Amino acid sequence: MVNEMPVFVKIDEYKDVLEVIELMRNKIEQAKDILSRINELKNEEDAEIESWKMGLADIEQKVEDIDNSLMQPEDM
Amino acid sequence: MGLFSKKSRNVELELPPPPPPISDEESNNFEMPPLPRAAAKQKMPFELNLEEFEKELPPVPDLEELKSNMPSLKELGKNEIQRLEFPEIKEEESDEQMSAGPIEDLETDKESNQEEEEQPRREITEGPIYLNVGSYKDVIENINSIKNKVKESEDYMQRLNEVKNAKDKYFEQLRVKLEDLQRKSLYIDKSLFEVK
Repeated sequence: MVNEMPVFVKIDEYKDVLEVIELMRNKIEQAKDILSRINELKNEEDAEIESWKMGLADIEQKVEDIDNSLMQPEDM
Repeated sequence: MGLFSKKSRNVELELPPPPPPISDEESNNFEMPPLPRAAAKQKMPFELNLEEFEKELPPVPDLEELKSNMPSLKELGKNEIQRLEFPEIKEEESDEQMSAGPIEDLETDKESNQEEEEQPRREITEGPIYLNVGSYKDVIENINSIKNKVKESEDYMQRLNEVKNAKDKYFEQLRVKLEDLQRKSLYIDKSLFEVK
């Protein structure tokens, strides 16, 4: 019978704890917003890097063309 | 005349694109939705017997007989038609506008009402509360878990910072390489096209 008796823990600052939980909820929402913005920036960065990579490939091709033109001069 | 000559031409329109091909399985399994009339017929709770319904209706009066009994407009004369008099509506003298109050945002009100319905209202008491030991243990475990997750988040932040520093370093190297590339291209340009 003694084992089945319910045991309770007294919490004095109940209202304060609830307020802190609400604050934590707000902070979590703000953190989620910031993460979302960081993700957007990362996507923009990826797009810029991809464009840059393509530009570099163009430059490489042009260098190859110049090299070919200079190494194989046409007969006069 | 030249303006209207183009109108007589027959304009040939392009044929629309053919419908997408349907496989045999799709054509076998395809079921047309029921027609609205057929659906309405299916939903009719009773059938109307027109013959019985007509018996209940009063007999149709003879129109010729009605016309002969009615006096003509000329016989009535204009004076017999009474003119209706409407009361004049007086304008309000006061210029003060009545305020209907702020416009309520119905959608937000609905959402807030739904939230209130979904979450049972908790009464927040000022004094202490007594929590079951089982629930208390759960709370403590959750707090420990939150602490660990916050610590993990700090680690993630540190790793991201390291990644960012490494990226900055690579960007600097890339900038130097591009500057070098630019200088070399200028040199080639100068060497090939300089007139001596």
